[in-house]
Amino acid sequence: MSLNFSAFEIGRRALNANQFAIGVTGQNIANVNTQGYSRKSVQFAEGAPNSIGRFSIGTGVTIQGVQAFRDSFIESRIQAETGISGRLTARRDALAPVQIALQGTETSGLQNSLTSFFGAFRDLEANPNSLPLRSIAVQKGAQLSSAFQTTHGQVEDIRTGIDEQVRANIDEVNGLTETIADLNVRIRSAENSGGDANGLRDKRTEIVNQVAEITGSHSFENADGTITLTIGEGRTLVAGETAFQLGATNTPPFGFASVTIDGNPAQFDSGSFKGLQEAITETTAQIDALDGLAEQVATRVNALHTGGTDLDGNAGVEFFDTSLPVTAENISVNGALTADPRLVVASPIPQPDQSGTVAGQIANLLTDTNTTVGSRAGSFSSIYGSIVSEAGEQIRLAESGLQTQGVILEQAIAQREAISGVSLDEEAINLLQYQKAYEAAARFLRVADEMTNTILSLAQ
Amino acid sequence: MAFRIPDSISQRNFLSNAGTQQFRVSSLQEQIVSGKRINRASDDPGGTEAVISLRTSQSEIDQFARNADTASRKLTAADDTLSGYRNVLDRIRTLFAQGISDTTTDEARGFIAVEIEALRTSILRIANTEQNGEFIFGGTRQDTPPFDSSGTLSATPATFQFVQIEPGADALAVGVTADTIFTDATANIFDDLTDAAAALRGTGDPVADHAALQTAIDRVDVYTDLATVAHSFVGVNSEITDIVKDRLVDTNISYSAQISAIEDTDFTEAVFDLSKAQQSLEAIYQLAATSRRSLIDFLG
Repeated sequence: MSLNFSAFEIGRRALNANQFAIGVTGQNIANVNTQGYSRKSVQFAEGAPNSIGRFSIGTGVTIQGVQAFRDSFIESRIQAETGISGRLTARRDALAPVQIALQGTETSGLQNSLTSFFGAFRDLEANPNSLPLRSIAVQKGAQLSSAFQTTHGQVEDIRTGIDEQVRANIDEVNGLTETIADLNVRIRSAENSGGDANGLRDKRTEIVNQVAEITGSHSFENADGTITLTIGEGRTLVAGETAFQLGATNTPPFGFASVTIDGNPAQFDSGSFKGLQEAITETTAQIDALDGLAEQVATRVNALHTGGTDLDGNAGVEFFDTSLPVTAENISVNGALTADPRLVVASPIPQPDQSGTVAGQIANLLTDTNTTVGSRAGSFSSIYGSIVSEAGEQIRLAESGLQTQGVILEQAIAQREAISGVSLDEEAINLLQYQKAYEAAARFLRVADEMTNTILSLAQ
Repeated sequence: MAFRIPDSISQRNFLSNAGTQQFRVSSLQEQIVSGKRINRASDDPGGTEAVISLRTSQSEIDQFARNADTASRKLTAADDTLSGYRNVLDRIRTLFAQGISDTTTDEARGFIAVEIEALRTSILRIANTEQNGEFIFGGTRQDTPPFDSSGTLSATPATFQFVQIEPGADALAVGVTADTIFTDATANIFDDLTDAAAALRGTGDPVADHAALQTAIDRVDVYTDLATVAHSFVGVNSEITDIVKDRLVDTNISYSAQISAIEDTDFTEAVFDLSKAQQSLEAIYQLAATSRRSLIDFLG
């Protein structure tokens, strides 16, 4: 009798358990394509046995819990690699337009303007008394100035764009960290009351990865189920229910955003912020190099120009205007020359210790290797070439680094998927398994039912 | 323990491989369409720097070639003019020889004087010859003609005009100044010819006239030497210029070849690589299309 009644209980529990397990399998199958989903499996345990005299009678099956398969070590590896990936991507994307700005096209652009300007003086060397060639020299000077200004302006615009992206990222991160803090609270309360928060945890991991991509953050799980996010040097970004807000302070001399956490300056060592910061440093260096090149062009041309005589035999004035310190942004031809090209110096009288004329010497500046701009030494042409190729090299390194990083990240994700990913084959087997067990349990119940009926019919 | 292969892996692999191959295909296509292997600095930073440098050198060569043409033109003009001048000097010597001879009559001497004066005017024109608005014997002095109408040398000092026609080389003189041809330390040809004409007409002192004519003949020899020196100087520089011009053409071609070697697409190789890459891509697509069936397909 007690056998029969406990049999019903055993049967009932078996049906429930297997039905539940089928539900979990269904959940896995439904989420086979869900990003960041960790597959779940049901943990069965034998029901605590009852002692009846000398015998222990089992009480069927109980569900101990639903386990989600995830590996926190791999997850933190993915976070770290995502941070690196974010840094390289941000850097590559920010710098890619720069090489186009610096190089210009074959017909316009700095290189062409440089060769064309100094070429005008070469022409003037052969025809030192020509007024039309002087006008052309002034025009070419204006073209060169314009090329400098345009290039400078374009690189500056790119740099400003990078700064804007930093600010946009700040807003994005603030939104995400708020969500993480919120999830922390919900996970903590769900798990503390004995439930499970697998779905929430998966969601939180996804968002943490998004934050890692931008900030290069690391996460630590606390005993209460909340996670703490920190960035590079140990500054806390999220702790429990608190998400510290990122802000921007405008840093002199250009007013670019410096990221702060909770009001204090923060240093990032990975993530988009780091990459964007590097991009700003690099574009600033390029702008400085352009400024230096413009300044040298103006200085060296002026030095020769003022040492010669113009068409009317008067001492030469400056070719490039120096009322302000010359930069690539403000370089321009002396207004006096634009108004009266006769003032352009060709000075056909050869210099005492050189065999060339002043016009010829100015023309030779293009390839004269005694120019120094910052740490670059060479001729105007070779210095410009090195600015362009350095920009190209930075981008190439970011590209190839990104490719390698892509492979590393894919590997880490593959490892995660091997543990957490859903395999339809596996779920199909599980489905079969639980279905068969369900059927068998149902059959067991039928047998128990028949047996009970038999006993009851005996009593009639 | 066997390695789990969840369904997402094959999907990620496909996307990753297809992506890589598609990128390869599109960059090869870009190379073929543009004809260049280097389409942006990051494609080959070292090559880009080299090409910039070569292009600069090449446009320098073009500039120098233009200067060499100008130099050629000026030297040829000087050469031709000096040829004509030497012929005039020969004529003058012949006339002087006649004039100094005792067998020549006073009347004849008078006619010779007239011709001498005409030739003097001619030489003045030669000295002040212009080409392209420039005095070819003006050198660096171009605001006034070398000699004024009365045959006085212009007060403005003048030196040879120098033009550089080759990279790294010294500048070349593209002409000579009138001073070096028509004058020397003691006198200029115009004054000497004026004096000679006067002597031919007779100043009333036959002995002095004879001596003056003898001096005139010696002076003509001096001027002839000066002209010869100038002529050969111009001739040598003209030859040098021609040689340099040829060299510049060769150098230009060499630069073009170097730039092309670095920058241009090797079409054969690119087309071949493109077809290989496209084949790979198709293979990847086909593999993905043979859809991976799972156990679920087989369960009843």
